[in-house]
Amino acid sequence: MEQGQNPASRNDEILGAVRERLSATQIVDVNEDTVQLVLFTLLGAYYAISGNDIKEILYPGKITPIPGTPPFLLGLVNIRGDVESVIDFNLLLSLPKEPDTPNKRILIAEKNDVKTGIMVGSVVDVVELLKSSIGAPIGTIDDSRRDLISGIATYRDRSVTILDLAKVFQKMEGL
Amino acid sequence: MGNAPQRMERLELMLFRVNGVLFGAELHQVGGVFAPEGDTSTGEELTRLDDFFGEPSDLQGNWKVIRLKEKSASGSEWGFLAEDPEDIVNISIDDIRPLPAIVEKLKTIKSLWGSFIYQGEIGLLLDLSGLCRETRSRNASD
Repeated sequence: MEQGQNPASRNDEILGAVRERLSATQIVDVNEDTVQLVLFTLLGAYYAISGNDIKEILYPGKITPIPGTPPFLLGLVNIRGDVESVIDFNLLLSLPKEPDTPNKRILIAEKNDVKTGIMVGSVVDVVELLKSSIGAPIGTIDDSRRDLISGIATYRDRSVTILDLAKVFQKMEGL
Repeated sequence: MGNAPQRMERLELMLFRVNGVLFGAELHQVGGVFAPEGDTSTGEELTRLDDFFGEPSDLQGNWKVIRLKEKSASGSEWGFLAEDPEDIVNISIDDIRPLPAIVEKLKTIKSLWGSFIYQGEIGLLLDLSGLCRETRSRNASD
């Protein structure tokens, strides 16, 4: 590659070569009667995302901020040599800031070709629930979040808000 | 000998920091590194990248002006303020990663074109010519 080459096409060429080296495979587990959920907390309240959409749960490490990006995009993390983004779910869902505690975790989530880390207050459990036990979102949930919710379940007598990750990512890309 | 283009395997980067974050720019784009003199507020020919992090930093420590090698048609120079622009390293493209898709969609600094891993730390790759064009275009539209 020549040094006089247009920087943009030169950079595209480098990234093309990098992408060639980073091919990945995906395994999808489908079960008709039950749904696997990853339960986590935001400000102590229980939330869940489909287990099919969560690839990994990590302890938070050093996050590299990126200038000129929205505040909910916390930055980049190094995951065994791969670079992933991390978002602040509280900011994205218009919730107050999560206090800094040692219980915080990063969920590596992937849906519809969008992959990112999600910072949560803590991870509670990974459970299998009957699909028939999941109810529709209740009317008392405020409008800014209702569209992002796919259902309500119960776990150990506590209400769990199940988030639709595809809709959360759509909201994020529109901000 | 054939004429097929040779695939680049390594990049020579100048490393610097802004607000503590590691950046790398290809050395062939750098015209020089100078001590800041006088007014360091944002101007057409001197950009403060730290503005993009929110509040600008206090200019203490080893802040320098990194000048772009390429000059404008009128011959004017352009540079930006950075911390500790001293290390020059040779990075393999195996240590370069594309920015995650969501970052590509949401970034406002279009000249951030990738990331790299150096001694376990993530750095951001910056195209200095692109940053200069972006800055001049922003200043022109203000």
